[in-house]
Amino acid sequence: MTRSLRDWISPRSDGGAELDALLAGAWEDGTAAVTRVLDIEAGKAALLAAFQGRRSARQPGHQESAEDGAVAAVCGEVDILLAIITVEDQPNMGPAHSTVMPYLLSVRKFLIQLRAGLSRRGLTKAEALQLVGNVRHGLSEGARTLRLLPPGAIPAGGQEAAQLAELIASILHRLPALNDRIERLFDEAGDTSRVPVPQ
Amino acid sequence: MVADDGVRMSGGSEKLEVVNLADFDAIAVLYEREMPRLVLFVSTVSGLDFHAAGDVAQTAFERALPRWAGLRNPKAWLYRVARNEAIARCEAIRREMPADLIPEQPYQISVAEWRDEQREVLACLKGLPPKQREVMTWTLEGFSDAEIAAAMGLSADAVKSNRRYAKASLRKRLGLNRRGAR
Repeated sequence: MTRSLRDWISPRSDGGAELDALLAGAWEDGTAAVTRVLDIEAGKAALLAAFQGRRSARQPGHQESAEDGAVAAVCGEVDILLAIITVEDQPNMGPAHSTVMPYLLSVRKFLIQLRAGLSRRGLTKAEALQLVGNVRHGLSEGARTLRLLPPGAIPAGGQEAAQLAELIASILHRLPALNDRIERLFDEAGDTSRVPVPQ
Repeated sequence: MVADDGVRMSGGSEKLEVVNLADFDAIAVLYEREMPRLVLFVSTVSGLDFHAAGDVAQTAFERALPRWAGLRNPKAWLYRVARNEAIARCEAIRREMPADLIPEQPYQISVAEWRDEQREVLACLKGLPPKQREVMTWTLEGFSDAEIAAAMGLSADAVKSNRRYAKASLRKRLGLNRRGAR
């Protein structure tokens, strides 16, 4: 049984009514902001695909696989990469951040696509490896652009640029392992047409 | 028998039932209504960025598919599963990542979409100690004290206490006096 928001913001609650209203308003505004950046239709389509996958997995003759853990391991590796890439989209970013941010945004997008595609069993081996290739390309381009920044554009010490270069290098360093995991995931199942883990 | 996560149980184990097209329509309606709220909830509770929170929320919906017919309270189940999944991912990240690479601030892809007041209020909320923040977040989503207590493994009194401290802290951080005026 859940309480309605109106009940919660009533003056009987254990804080000031204005604080409750302020919080409730910010929460609703926040929800609206999230709604604007989410692709609800794409999410529903992915859910429908998962639903249909479950129905087909229940058909007679369907072979259960024990490879959930292998996909989870690859997704876990992608999660780590996603956690490494943090960029504050703030107006007071330094020049190095501003320069590299578009590349990191695209890298995040590819990693999200990879994770979503793997977990929803919607990628072929070639598509998964292509996404890893896109990540590598985005990072390499970001690093190259960083190196090309004129010295005058970077504040004294260049700490910001050095941190970004280190961040990019750390992700690039992990990509071969991710590539290998994806290769093994498909090859060991002997099927490269889709992620080999029916539910 | 009803488990405290809202799943009807049968014979001591969770009963998985076949989901049908009518179920999917109902899930799709719930998805449209709850997905943005669930993403904001996950992000606020766990500190995950919106992309990762969206993935967690989507995963929770996918996990609901085979259980749908047995869910007594699908919303409570989804939020609880998403909360646990987010915490598990955060712990895995902390376990496997070098400490100096763990971000201090979550990535905010949509920060430009937020008004100053929203940002201030939600930043104050995110700045609370974890238990207080989580109790407030569940409360904002309209869950009862009993549901919050069950989800967080706390007593109802502890829920009330955390909310009282959280509100006092928020009043202070937001510059509100006891009666609520700024």
